[in-house]
Amino acid sequence: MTAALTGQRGRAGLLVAGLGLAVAARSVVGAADPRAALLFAALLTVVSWLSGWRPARPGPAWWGWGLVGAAGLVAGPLLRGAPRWHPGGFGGWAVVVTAVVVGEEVLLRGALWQALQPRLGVAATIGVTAALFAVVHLPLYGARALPLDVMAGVWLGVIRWGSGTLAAPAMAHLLADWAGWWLA
Amino acid sequence: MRVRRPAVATALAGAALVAGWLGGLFGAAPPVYDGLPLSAEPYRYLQPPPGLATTAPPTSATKTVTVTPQASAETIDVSTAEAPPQASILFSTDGLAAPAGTSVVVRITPVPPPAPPKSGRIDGNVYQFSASAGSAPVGLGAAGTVANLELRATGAPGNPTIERFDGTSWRAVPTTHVPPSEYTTDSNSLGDFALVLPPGPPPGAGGPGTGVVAGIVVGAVLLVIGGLLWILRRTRRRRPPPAAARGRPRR
Repeated sequence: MTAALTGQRGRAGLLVAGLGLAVAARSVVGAADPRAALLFAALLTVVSWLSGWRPARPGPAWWGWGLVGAAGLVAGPLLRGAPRWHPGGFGGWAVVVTAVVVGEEVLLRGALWQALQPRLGVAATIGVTAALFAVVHLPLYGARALPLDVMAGVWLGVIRWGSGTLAAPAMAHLLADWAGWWLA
Repeated sequence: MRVRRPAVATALAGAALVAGWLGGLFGAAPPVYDGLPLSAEPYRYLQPPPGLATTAPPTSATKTVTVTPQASAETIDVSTAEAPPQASILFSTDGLAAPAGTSVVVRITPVPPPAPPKSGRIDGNVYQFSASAGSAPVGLGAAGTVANLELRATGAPGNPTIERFDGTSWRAVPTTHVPPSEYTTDSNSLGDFALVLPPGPPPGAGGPGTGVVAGIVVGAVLLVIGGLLWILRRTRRRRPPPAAARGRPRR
């Protein structure tokens, strides 16, 4: 069973199916529910692990790429309006956000990237992972957020390509989400 | 040259992302990229319903903009100060019915309901969207010019619709739900707007919301696509190689 799942062939299909399962499970539990978000993150990470993905040591400049990536994601909202404070506890929210970011990045720009990039090339891999990134966010944000999420997916894909490591887009994604506490 | 390709791609993608924000392509979409909503503060009522805990008063919003020709138009976002905002408007600086260079004050103000709607009950506050140059009111410009208005629902069960008060009665306008709690419409006129809930028990109360259905559909589609891809790849792997690849034919 494990050998079948971890074989090179069919990895992309397994990962997309796993992503679908995680999205459906999260929606059934309640897309906006933090417990559902944690379940979603856990499913993505487990599916990625079953597909054969393993973490690798990032290159030396990953954090620089990560900072550039985060700056790109928050520049638009910062230029458009003044930051505002949200009520409630940042700490618990940030923990859940971190788990979801790790799950999404490990599956999309970790395992799926590894499975697709050798066969499809960089451009198509960025396109596929960006499209999936946008689709995953449909249930909570609706179709109106699709253009933003597609562009954010492309941006994170470019950061992944430029840095050569998953750590950079993960850092960018995480910092931008945390900044969302003041920008959304 | 190869070393520069990621840098060029990064510059292009970053410019496109920022231009999308500044050009209004992304509307008021939430800039949290993981699908987790921020905690919303309780709805602030201008006239709290009986029995409801008193909240801070709702805020107004004001922004002064200069009307521009189309070539130098910018997208302007005006929002009230709640988290998330209870009312906001997104418009282009060439979309106001005033000569280029005119200074226009755009306001969002919570106001008492001018009349009760016939189609149901108001969910939250009535918001007056207005623009003026000095004491003269300013409307939206030529035909086809629209502003995007957004109102936040209180969280009461039901599917509200945005309605506009035309001076004598409330009229429903095309409404789009932006999960989890925002509702938006493209309007070619300013004025008084409110979310209106249908009377009686909300239709579909207790059933799955649009977000749940969307999630299940998206999940099922990805599951099927992924499953087909996996089966396809596994099947191809098991197919025997062509005769020529197996070696020389036997005599």
